[in-house]
Amino acid sequence: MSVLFFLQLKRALKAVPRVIAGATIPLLLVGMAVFFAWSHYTSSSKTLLSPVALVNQDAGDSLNMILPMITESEAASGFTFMEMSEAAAMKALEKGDVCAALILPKDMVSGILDSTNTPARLYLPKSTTAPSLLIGKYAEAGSRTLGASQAGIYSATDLYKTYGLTDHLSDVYYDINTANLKYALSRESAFSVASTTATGMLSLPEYYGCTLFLCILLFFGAGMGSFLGTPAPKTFSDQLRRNGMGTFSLELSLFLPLGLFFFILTFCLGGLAHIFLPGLSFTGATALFLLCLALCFTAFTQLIFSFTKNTGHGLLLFLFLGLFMILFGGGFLPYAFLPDLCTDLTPFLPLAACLAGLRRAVTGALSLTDSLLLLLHFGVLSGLLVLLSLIGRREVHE
Amino acid sequence: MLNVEHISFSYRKKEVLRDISFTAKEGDFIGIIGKNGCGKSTLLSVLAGVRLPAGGTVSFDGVPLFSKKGASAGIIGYVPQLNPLLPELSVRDNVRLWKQKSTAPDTSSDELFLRLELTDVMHTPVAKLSEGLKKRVSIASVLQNHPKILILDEPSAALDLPCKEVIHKQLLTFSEQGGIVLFTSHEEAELSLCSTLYILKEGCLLQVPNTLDKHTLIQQF
Repeated sequence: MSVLFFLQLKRALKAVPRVIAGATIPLLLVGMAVFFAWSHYTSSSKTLLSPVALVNQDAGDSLNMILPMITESEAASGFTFMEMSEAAAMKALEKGDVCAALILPKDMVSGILDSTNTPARLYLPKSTTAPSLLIGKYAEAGSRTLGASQAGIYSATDLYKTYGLTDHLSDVYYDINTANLKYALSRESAFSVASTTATGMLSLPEYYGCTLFLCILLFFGAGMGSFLGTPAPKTFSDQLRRNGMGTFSLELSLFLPLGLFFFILTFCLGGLAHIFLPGLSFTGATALFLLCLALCFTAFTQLIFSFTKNTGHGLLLFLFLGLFMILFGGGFLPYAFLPDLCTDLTPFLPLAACLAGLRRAVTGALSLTDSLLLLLHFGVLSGLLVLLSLIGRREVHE
Repeated sequence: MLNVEHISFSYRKKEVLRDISFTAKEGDFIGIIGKNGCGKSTLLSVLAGVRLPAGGTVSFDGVPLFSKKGASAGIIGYVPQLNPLLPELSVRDNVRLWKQKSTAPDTSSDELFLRLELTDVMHTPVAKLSEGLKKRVSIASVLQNHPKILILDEPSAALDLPCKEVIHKQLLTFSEQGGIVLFTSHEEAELSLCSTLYILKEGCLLQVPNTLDKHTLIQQF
């Protein structure tokens, strides 16, 4: 058995250049897809902000002081304000280029202060969209805030008058107004912004980094699996059996080199991932998890190539099932976009379970107990896969 | 002395071999002929211990060959029709794979490579070899273990004349040194080397004179 094991290792080493060449092409394609998706995501992220036309007819200092409080407030972070003329604003609104047009009239601030109240006008399209509704609500909340602010200013004025301090009123009038507006506007919060994402605790690069990790294992595994996992000709195993080698030893001598390949590849990738995904720290739990990963991939590869007589068919089936499991594990689209069935099936699909475990490892939420449980989980799955692969070999041979 | 007694074998319900018995002594060169699909390869695989017979025994010098796993490997060398070789490995590695611990040291392999004219391709991957060379590698893998009986399934099918010549020379040498050669073939020239000729017909093995001409032999089929 030892001779066969070492010769299998020698075969594996000889196959490495072919395996790398074979994996490079699909990885390049995946890399290009990720690159373009990433470029699209980053370039389109700005356009995701809803544009609002802002017409500023009040050239006064007060409005210029207040304006950033409106446009740069947290509640308005979903909008981008574009200053333009009233005509241009109305045209943009008609064309649907903006979701709303906010017209701040001349002497708006002084009107607030002296209670003449020249209102700001908010134009919304007739076919109301979500951003239009939001800016409407935002303006409504703003006007309530201004109302409260005005009430504060007028109360303070009345108070000064009641206590006969009207002489001082002219001195402090401007300060009272400014202070009232300042506190009222800074406390304005029509919406509190909280963020959530379909990728959960993982950032987008971390999320797809996990997928890439498994894809690399899959593509390299396809090459090496087609080489080492494909059953040897019947005459080959017959001769080994004639020489006294038992079925268990024979399978083990074929399984071990493949396992060793996945073990080395998984740990190399783990090292690389540690650089790019800082969350993946090398603890005992992570090492144990990577071992589980290698075990699971070995068993899966062994299974697929045991059931196929033809290497080409084996490759196709391996890649199809592998990618299907990664898809079901939310590797390409987060679970939020997938049917609930995917979440339910994850524990039973080896590669989907691997993906879930890897995500936990990257978030640093993987404890030693978790890893041991995963080892048990993957051990059972791998055991089943190996058992099936033995049946597969028997079927192929018969 | 090889003693085959009452061997029978079936594929599910189809009986392929029926009560086959024969003996072979040292130096015998036995050829087995028969129609395609008549069970020649099955018979050889049963004799080699690859398949277990439904009934009957095979013994050599009175010792049953298949009572213990791997027991026949030291006595019988079996060259199947399809070469049991790993294509990515070199000739030397493939031969090394089939070496049994109990046999002579590695030096005998070099001598074997020389005899089978494989020295030049010793380090070449098997995938790059012609069919004739592959067959010679298979034979070398078996001969290195110094078997007493050599079983070959169509050893020179689809090979060129020089290659056949090398193989025949080795088989004759093996036989002259006291080994028993048992093979199946459809080649006239190869059958002319036989000391004994059998025809397998409807699961039964019948001895035919090896002096029969081609037309008479065809009538026997």
